[in-house]
Parts: sequence; C-alpha cells; structure tokens
Amino acid sequence: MKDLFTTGEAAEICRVSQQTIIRCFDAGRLEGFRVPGSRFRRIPRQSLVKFMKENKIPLDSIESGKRKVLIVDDDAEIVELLMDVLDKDGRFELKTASSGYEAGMATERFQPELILLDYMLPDVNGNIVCQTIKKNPQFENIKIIIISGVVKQEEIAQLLKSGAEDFIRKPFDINELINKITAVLQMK
Amino acid sequence: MHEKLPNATFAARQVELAVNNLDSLSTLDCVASQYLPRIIQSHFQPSVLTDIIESDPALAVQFLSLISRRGISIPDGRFSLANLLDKLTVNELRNTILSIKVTPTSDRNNGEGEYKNKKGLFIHSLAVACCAKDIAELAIPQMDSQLAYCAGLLHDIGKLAIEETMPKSFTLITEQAESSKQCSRAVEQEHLNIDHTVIGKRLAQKWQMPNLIVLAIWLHHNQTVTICKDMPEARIAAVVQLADSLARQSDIGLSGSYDIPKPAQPIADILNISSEQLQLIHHNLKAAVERKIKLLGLNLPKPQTEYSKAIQTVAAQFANRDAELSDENRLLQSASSHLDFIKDFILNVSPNNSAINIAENLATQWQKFYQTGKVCLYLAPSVSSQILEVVVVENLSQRETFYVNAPVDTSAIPKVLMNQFMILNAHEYIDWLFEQLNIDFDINRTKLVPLLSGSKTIGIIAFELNYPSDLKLFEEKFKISASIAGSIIGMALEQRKEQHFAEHFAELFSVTPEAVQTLPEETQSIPESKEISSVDSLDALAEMAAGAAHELNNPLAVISGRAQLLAEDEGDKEKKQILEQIKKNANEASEIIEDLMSFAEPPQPKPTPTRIPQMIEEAIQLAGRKTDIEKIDIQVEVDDDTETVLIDSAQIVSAIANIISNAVESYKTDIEPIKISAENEETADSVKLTITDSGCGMDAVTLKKAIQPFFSAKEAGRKRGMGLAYAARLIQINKGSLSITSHPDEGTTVNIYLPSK
Repeated sequence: MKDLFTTGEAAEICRVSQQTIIRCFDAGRLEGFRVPGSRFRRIPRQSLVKFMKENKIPLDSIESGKRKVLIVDDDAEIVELLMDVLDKDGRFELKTASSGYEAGMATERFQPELILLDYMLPDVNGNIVCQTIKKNPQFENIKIIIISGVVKQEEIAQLLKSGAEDFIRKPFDINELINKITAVLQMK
Repeated sequence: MHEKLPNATFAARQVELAVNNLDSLSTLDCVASQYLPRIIQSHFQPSVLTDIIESDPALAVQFLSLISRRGISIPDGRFSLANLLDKLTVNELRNTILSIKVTPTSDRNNGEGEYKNKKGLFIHSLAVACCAKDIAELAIPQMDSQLAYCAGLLHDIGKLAIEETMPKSFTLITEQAESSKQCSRAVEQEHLNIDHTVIGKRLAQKWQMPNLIVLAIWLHHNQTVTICKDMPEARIAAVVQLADSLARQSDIGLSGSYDIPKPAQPIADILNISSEQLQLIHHNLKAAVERKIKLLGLNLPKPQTEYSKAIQTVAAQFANRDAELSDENRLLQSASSHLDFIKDFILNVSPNNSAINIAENLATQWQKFYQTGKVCLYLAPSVSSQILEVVVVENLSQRETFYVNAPVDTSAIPKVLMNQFMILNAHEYIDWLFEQLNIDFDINRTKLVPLLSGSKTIGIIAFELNYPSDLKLFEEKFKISASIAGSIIGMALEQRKEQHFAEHFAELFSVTPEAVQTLPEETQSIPESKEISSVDSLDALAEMAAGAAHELNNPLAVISGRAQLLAEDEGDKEKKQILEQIKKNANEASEIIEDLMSFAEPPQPKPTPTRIPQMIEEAIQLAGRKTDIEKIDIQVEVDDDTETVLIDSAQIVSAIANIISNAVESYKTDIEPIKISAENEETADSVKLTITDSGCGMDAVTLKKAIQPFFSAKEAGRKRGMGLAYAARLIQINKGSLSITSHPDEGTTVNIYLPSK
C-alpha cells in the first residue's frame, strides 16, 4: 500500500487539480516534504489522510487497501486511545470489542487481519482467546498481538507459544506499536 | 307705610356686634336631610358632598373658610371646590359638616315666613351663581367660571347674615323695599346705617374668602362698568351684577331688591358678551336653578320629618361605630399590655439567672399583668428528686419559696399537660400541692397552665383568675406567655444540667495523674544483625503488586499514549518537550510497579552449580554499569577451596551487584576499596560471602529499614531504593540468607550465605 504520494497522485485521490495540491502544500495546509536535492514534493499517507479529513474529502479512494484490525480491551479509554492512534495512521479499518465473548463475535463478523488483544479480559484469559482463535481453521491466518500491563517474562513466552505473534506492554510507545503491527502484517 | 326701626345708630351697633359674633351661617333642614345620609357611608370621599356644598351658601362659606384656615392654597385660574375638598381629611369634613347650624323649621306653616325668606335667598343665590358661571364662561378674556359661580353663590351672604341675626328686621326691610320698589341697600342704610354689601364684605374677609369673591360681594351693586376700567380684577363684580340682574329679571328666588334692575347691555359689553348669548343664558337659567333646588331638597314637603329621620340614622350609625371602635380598642390595649408583660419579663432575665429565679420573676409578672389573685409556680422535678421548689406570690410585695414533697401516686406535672397547652381547673390536679402549701387558693377560680419549652412541659403555673369571663380572651395570651416563659426557663434548666455535668466530669479527671501510663522507653541497643522479612508478607505483597500493576498500567498507558498523540501534532517545541516528559514519567511509573512486582515475585530461580570467583567477577562488572564507574576499587579474596554454590547465577550476580553499588555509594568523599571475601561455612553447607566497605555506614534506624523496598537514605533523587531489598529477596529465593552489620561513619559489612549443595 502506498505510503508516499506525489502531488499528482494526491490530486487524483482528492479529485482536485495538481495546482491546488501544490498551493496547499506550499501554504502548509498539506504537510509533506521536498525530496532533498530536488523540487519534488512528497506527501506521506498520514498527512494526506489528515488533509482529506480536514477538508471533508471523502476517503473512499484512499480507503481501499486498509488493513482490518480488531481492538480488544475492556478499558474503554485504552480502546479509544488505540483507535485514535490507528485511525490517525490511516491505514487501518477498525472495529472494537470489550470482552472475550465480543471478541469472538467480532472476529466472526469482521474477519480482521489482526487482533490487538488485551491479556486481562473480564470473562476470559487472553491466553484462551488466543488459542481458541488459532484453533479455528477459518481464522488460521489471523495475527494476534497481545497488549498487556501485567505479564511476566515467562508468561510472555507462553503466549507466544499459544499463537500470539508479538507482545507489547502498557504503557506503550506509539511508534513501537505501529512498527510491530506493520511488521506482523507485513506492510511496507 | 313702613315702621321706622327704633334708633338707627343703636341698630347699626347691634348689627356690628351681631356680625362680629357670627361664626357661621346656618343652613336649612331640608338641605341637611340631603347631606346627612351621605356622610354615614363608609369610606366616603369628601368630594361626594361637593355638589351639595357648592349649592348651599352656608355650607360653601363654611368650607371655603375651613380650607383657607387649613392653609390649603387655591390655585389661580382653576378654582375647583371638589379638589379643594379632597385635600381635607374625612374626619375634618365630617366634623365640620355636622357642626353646621341647621335652622329648624316646623312642618306646619308657622315659621313659614322666616323659612321662606331664607329659602328664597338660597334660591336667588343659586340663580345668580348659575348665571354668573355661564357668563364667566362666555366672557372674553376668559374668567374662572367656577370662581364666578362661587362668587355668585355667596354674593348675598350679607343678607343671609342679617336674616339670621335679625330675622324680624330683615322681613321688615324686605317688605319696605318691596312696597317702595327700592333696592334693599337703600332701606338697609336707612335703618341700619350699613348695607348688606359691606356686611358681606366684612364677613367674607373675616372668614378668609378668596379675594375675588370678597370683591364680588362688595361691589356687585356699584358702578362696576366704571370700576372695571380701572380695576380689571373687579370684572368678577361685573359678572355677579349682571347675573343678579338676569336672575331678578327671571324672578327667581328672593333677592330682596325691588328696583328696576340695571340694564344688562353695558356690562355685557365690558365682558364682550353678545346679547344673543345673554338671551341664551337667560333662557336656560330657570331650568338650571330647578335642578339645584331639587338637589338641595328645597321643595321637600316635610323637611322637618326628613331631617329628624336623617339625624336619627346618622346618630345610630355613629353609635354603632363607636361601639365597634371601643371593642377594638380594648382588644388592642390588652394585646399591647401583653407585649408589655413579655418585655418586662424578658428584661428581667439575665444569662446567669437560675431557672428558679426566672420562675420567681415570672410568677410576679404574671400576677401583675393578668391581674390575677394568688399565683404559685413550680418546675418539673428531676427524676430522682422527691422535693419540689414552689414559688408563691400572694401579692406584689409578698413572694415566698416553699419546699414541698412531690406527690407519690401521681406525677408532679399532670399527665394531660405533658406535651400540650390547656387551661385546667387547678384543684382537680394539684390539690396535693395546695394542701402542703397551706395557703388558700379559691377553688372556683384557680386555673393552671403548663409552661412549655418546645413541646415539653417543664413547669406549672397556677393562679386565681379574677375575671372568669375573660378566659377565652386570655387563652391565646396565656399560651404565648407560658410558652415564652417556659422556653426561657427550659434553657436555664439545661444550662444548669450542663454545668453539673461539667463539674462531674472535671471531678473524674482531677483523680490520680499517676494512673496515666507512660510509654516504654526506646531501647538503645539494636541487634547487630537483621533478619530478612518473612516469606508470607512478601507473598501478600506480590499479589498486591500484581493487582496494582494491572490497575495502574491501564491509566498509565492512556496518559502515555495521549501525550504521544499530542506530541505528534504539537508544533511548539517547548510544549512538545513537556508532552514527552509526560510520556517518560508515565513509563517510569510503570517501571516502578514492575520493580515492585519483580521484587514480590521474582522469577523462579534455576539453580546451577556456579563458581564463586566467576560470579563475583560478573557482579563487579554489573555493578560498574549500574554505578557508572568503570573501575570500582575492589579487593577480592576467595579461598581456594570454596565450593560451587547451587544458585541461579543471574539472580545472585544481580544481588551481589546491588550490594556492591550500595557500598560504592556509601562513600561520600574519599573512596576506599571495597573488600569481598568468600569462604566455606562448614556447619551450614554453605558458602559465606562477605562484602565490606568503610563508607558512611548506617545508624540503627536506617539499618532496620535497609532492606525495605523503596527505602533510601540518599539525600536527593530517590532513585528507587530497591537495590538492597531486591538483593535480599533474590538471595532468599535461592535458599540463601543475608545479614548486615553497620556502624555510622565506620562502614558496613554484608554477609551472604549461599547453599553449596
């Protein structure tokens, strides 16, 4: 999926003239950078998404190619935080769940590519969720990243064995999280 | 043919006297019968009488006089009797009008002669008044028509005065004037040496009539046309003269003059009135006068009867009202005296008065204000007491206090009065008291009432009521007085109770100061070694730490995450730094929890045989990294035959490293070498490892706390005093033990025992 756009590409996506894009770029309303040593402008995906949102340009043309992520945590504020982080990035289509049970239902319906799974859920241990999902042949290819505030070293190893791809602690570094996600989903 | 009146001078003097003595003119009874019914209406305004007052010369004069005496100013140009009357109070008006003399007449024709004269004069005056008003309205320049009306009404008060004081002479004069076709003035002069215009003027001045009216009265028979040329104010006289002419031409009423009236035209010219207008006025005059006559009731058939009836009604009404006011007055008086009672009572109460003092006061006041006979009062006894204190007031100078026995079979306060107010017959309830008092209280008259404090009865007051009929009247007041007094006495009682309580309390505390325990003294000697904390408390800590970690990490994640998101969008460098600081600190907080968790539940040790020297070497290196010192000055002495120990090497290395860094940090200024030695401990199947430093050491208190997590004796920058605690913990789970000895300024020695098998 494209991470970087030229002004022409951006113009096409936004259905405006290239001049408009250039002007916005120069005025600072569209963030980006110049290719060093040249006059070419480059617009990172994130900025383009932000710009489109700000100007209420429908996002369908950039939407396609989003990766589906299911966020599972019983703490509403954590869920909101993760949503904001991933939404800002722009490459993801998001759904949420706040219990093991809901996670199961959502996985069925939403068919995510990745689940961000909190280890401590009210109804069931994250471990179990992991195993259950992996066992189901339908969901074989779903990747799972465990996020948790309370995991000890040994348990991490155990989790990785039950099928989680990676683990990240709370509190987390946003960039680290995104990196892990992109790595696991093999995004560029 | 006319009789000559006896001695003209004598008559003149008589007239003068009479005139001087005349206070007011009198009115007719028929007129009175008209105005009397009006004044007994409730809430009447003075102005409802305006129409009658302004139609009756006697009334008009009286009221104008009153108005002038009251100092009420008459506005120039807009004379209005109604307005002026309204400036009087209702009472003034009523009193004035009731004091007006009424000429009695009989219904028979006997007094008809005199009656006729007065009536005639009234009618004539009315005619002139109406006429004058109309003329004034048409005159150019315009004149105050109301004023002209009044002037017209009053122009012949001189004649009225003569008629009143010397009715017989008046009749004679009039008859003479009639028979000789003269103006009454001439006849008057002849007989009295004075004429009605002068009399009128004198009276008008005496009664403080407005100036213009005075002029009109005086000059209405003179050469007004000529006068007007010099004195414009005399125009009113001209108006009145003209009106007089017209009235006489219409033959309305008794004018008393029988000469040919003066020609109207010259006067009319002065006033700029055309003859057609005059004709019109002339034409309307009779009708206007008729209306007024009707209003005054001048044609009533039986004026005397009417008048009597009216007087009776008025008298009856006023009598009623008087009775009502009297009642009201009595009530108010008694109410105010009631307030006086309360005022007096309260003024006599001072904060330090005891309840019984207040009660005494109350009894006295009660008698005084309610004018009762003997009074006795007692307060509810306290539970245990058998004795009642009773205050008896026989009369104002005799007041005594008695002590009686409380009744055995009943309660001192009648049950029915415990919480409510009622007036009861005393002897039915407190006979036991009267018996003991030996004072005669009249059985039939003595009542008792409770003294209520809030809703509780705290005392009883009994008294001989002198006016039994007033019971209902006084009930409300008794209740109020009793309640107020009761409340005050109640408060005094409470105060007393509290004082007793306080005294009792104080007594308790004045006993044996030695009884108070002293705390045991701080033991000076501290054991040289400290045991490591037991396993149990650490397990509890572990569980708590885990719970805390989970709980805390979520909010910390939110803090950290949000700060990061904000930092990403923040352009301001400073703010961005601050946001990063937030993130860093959130992470740091998280690490503290992690430390705690690790401490509480460290990972299971995996014991492997480990060689001491190697272990020590690794520990030194680790310590170096921890303390940021490349080369720590350590002297290592390991016995050659020391065995391997069976421990989780990573953990123990970490533990030793912690101890070493502590040792390093204990050197404030000069750093001396740290000594590490190891040897076998035969008896315990373990190896003893000793780490010694000669740093600042620890005092007893610090030592005690040394291995507590988070304790740090470092001055600034806490840096998470976990090191030693952690070390101790790690050693413990590896089945080892640790002991510390320390002396301030001398250094610390740490002994570690590790299992060798």
